[in-house]
Amino acid sequence: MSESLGEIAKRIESQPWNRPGTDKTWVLNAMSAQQQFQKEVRRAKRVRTR
Amino acid sequence: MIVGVGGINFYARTPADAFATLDVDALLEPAVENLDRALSVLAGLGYSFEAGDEPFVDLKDALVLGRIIENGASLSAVHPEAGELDLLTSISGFSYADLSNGAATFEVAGSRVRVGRLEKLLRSKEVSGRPKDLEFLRAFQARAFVDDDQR
Repeated sequence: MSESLGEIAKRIESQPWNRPGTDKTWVLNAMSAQQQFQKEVRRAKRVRTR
Repeated sequence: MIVGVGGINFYARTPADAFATLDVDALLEPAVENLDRALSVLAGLGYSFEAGDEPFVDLKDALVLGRIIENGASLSAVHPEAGELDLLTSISGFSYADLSNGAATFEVAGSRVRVGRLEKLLRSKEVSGRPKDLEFLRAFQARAFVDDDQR
């Protein structure tokens, strides 16, 4: 791994919002919402408009 | 243990910092019992399964599950509302034990969830060498640098 990427990772890992035990429920909720959005986009593309 | 882009998203500060992904990757400790247990629990929650875009129905066939483990293959668990969860039995560059060592523990809806260390998840993408992973790393690096400039 390039050094800069490793340094970035360590810096992010050490941030207060990444302390062990932090509540990250929002992450799964956000990814679930994203998946639902993409699903609706695919469904909309399948609908004939004419 | 959560890995992949979904795992990397656990380290984001806000939803705006997270990356779009169509699935969540869960790396299982590679043992038939673990895969069997994961499939049973998910099936009970209404998930169906796919292997290589084909329906996978051999949920209780220990021989088939053993082959999945031996090959380091993955299964996709699909739920009409909850979305897609990929069950991985291997990951580029790390054994389960390597990745488990030092993994982060976060809380999700009152449960403890283990997530691979960010540095290792990024390194795994680098080791895989797949164009989409390398493209992701470039985007990740660029976004991190933008964040630095904005602080």
